[in-house]
Amino acid sequence: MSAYFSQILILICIYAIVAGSLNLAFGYTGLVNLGHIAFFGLGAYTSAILTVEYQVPFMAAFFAAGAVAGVFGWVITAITSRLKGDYFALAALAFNFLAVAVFLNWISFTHGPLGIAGVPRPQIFGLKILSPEGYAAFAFLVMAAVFLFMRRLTASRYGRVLEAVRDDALGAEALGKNVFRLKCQCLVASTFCAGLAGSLFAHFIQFIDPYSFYLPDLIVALTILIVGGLASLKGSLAGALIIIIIPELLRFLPIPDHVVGPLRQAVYSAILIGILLVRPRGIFGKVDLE
Amino acid sequence: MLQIENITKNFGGVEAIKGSDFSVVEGRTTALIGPNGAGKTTLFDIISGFVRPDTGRVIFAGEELNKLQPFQRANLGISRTFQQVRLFRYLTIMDHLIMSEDSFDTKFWRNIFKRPRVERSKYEAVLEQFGIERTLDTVVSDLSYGQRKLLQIAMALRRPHKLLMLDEPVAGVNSVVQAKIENLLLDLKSKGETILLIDHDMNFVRRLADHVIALDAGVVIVDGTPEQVLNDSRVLEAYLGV
Repeated sequence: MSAYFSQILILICIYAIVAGSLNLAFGYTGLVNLGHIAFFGLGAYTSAILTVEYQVPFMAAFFAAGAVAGVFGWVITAITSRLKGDYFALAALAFNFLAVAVFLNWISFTHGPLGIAGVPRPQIFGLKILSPEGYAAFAFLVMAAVFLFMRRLTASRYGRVLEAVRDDALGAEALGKNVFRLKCQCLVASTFCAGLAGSLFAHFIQFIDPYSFYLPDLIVALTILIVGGLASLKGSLAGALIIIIIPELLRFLPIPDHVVGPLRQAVYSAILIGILLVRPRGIFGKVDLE
Repeated sequence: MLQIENITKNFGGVEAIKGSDFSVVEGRTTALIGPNGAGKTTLFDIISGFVRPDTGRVIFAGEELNKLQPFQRANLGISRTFQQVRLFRYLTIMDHLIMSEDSFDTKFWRNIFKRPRVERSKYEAVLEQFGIERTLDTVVSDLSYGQRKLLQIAMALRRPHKLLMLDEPVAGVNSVVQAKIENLLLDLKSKGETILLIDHDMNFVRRLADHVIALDAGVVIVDGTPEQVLNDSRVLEAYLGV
C-alpha cells in the first residue's frame, strides 16, 4: 500500500511540474502553449536515450533533459515570434504533432513505436533510488525546487512584466519592455521545467513510447491548469492533486478494468466542465480563461 | 528634438499619410490637430514604432528611428499615452507605477535573487500629485475612465524620457479631471518639458500649445502659432467643411 501511495505522490509531483510550468507560459504570460507535452516528451526522450544508450550519469541526463526542452522552447518562440493568441496556440499544437512524428519515425534514435525500455532508476552521488518511497521523496524535492524557482520568478517585478505582456503586449512595449525577449525567456523557463518533469517520468515508468506524449496527456495538463486556475502556482498544485487522485478512486469501484481507462477520460471531462460552469477561474485562478 | 521627413503610409490602398514633414522643438509644446481620419494617431504610431512608414524618416535627438522596435524607441526617451487607455487589467496601480520607472523588471536572474525594497510612500505621493483618489493596491480595472487616463499620464511621465507624446489626453473625461490634466500639463510646460499632443478641444490646444500643426487627409495643411493655425481658413474648412 505504501508503494501505491508513493506512486500516486510521484505522479502528482510530475504533473504538478508539467501544469505549473504550463501556467508560467499560459497563465502568467498569455502564451497558449498547446505543444507543452512535446517538451515533456523531449525531456523524457533525452534523459532515456542518454542513460540507456550512452550510460550518461542520471544527474547530467536530468539537466540535459531540461536544457534540450528549453532550447526547443527558444526555437519555437523564435519561429513563431510574429504569431499571437490562437495562431501561436495552433503552431504550438502543430509542434506537438511534429515531435510525436519524430519520436515515432526516427527509429534508429528513439526505437520508434517500440519505445525505449529499461530506463534506469536514478543514481545520485552513488546512491541508487530503487524504492517507490525513495523516488517519491526525490520527485517531491524536484517539485519543491521547481515551484520555488517559479514562485521567485512570478512574485518578482519580472513576474509583473510577464503579466503585463499577457494583458497588453503593445502597452508593455510602449513602456520599453522587450516583449519578444520576455516571451522567449518565459518559454525557455517553462519548457526547461517541463523537460525536467519528462526526465522524472521516464526514470519512474522506466519505459517511454511516443504515445506517452500525445493529446490525452495535453488534456490532463490543461485540465489540471484550468481546475487549479490560471496565474496561480498554488492552483497548479491543487489541480494536480485533484486530477490525479479522483480518477484513482475508480480503482476501488466494482468496474471492469477495460472500462476504467475510458471512464478516467470521462471523469477529466466532467471535472473540467463542472469547474468551468461553477467556477470559471478555477480554484485559485486570478485571471479569466479567454 | 524630433523631425518627421516625407512620411507616407498606405493601409490596403488607403493613403493615411501622404508625405508629411514637421518638427518638434525641444522645450516646447506642439499640438497635432485635424479632423477624424486626418492621420494624427497614425503619425503617433509611426513615431513610436507601432506602424512602419512606407517611405520617409523619423529622426529623434539626431538618431534615425526607422529600424528600431517600439521598445527601443521608448528606451531612447519617447514616452507616450494612447487614445484608448492601455493598462494591464489584472495589475494594481502600484504595479503600473513600478513598471514604468525603470527596466530592472526585465532582468530574469536578478529578479530571482534580488527583491528591491518598495517605498510605498513614494508611490502614494504620485497618487496625490495626480489626484488619483484610490489606494495603491487597487486593481486598474476598478478605476474610472478618468482615473485610468490620469494613471496613464503618470506612467508616461515617470518613464525616463525626452519627449512626451499624449494622444487625446482629455478626451472622454469630465470637466474636473480635464482641469486636473490641463493644470498638470501647464506645470510641465512651465518646466520646459517637450510635449507633442493630439486633441480636438481647440480651447485646450490654444491654452497649452506653443506650436500647432494641422493635418487633413494625411497632409500637413498649415503650421504655426495657435492663433495663426486656428484662424486659418484651410483649418476651418477641414473641420467644418466650409
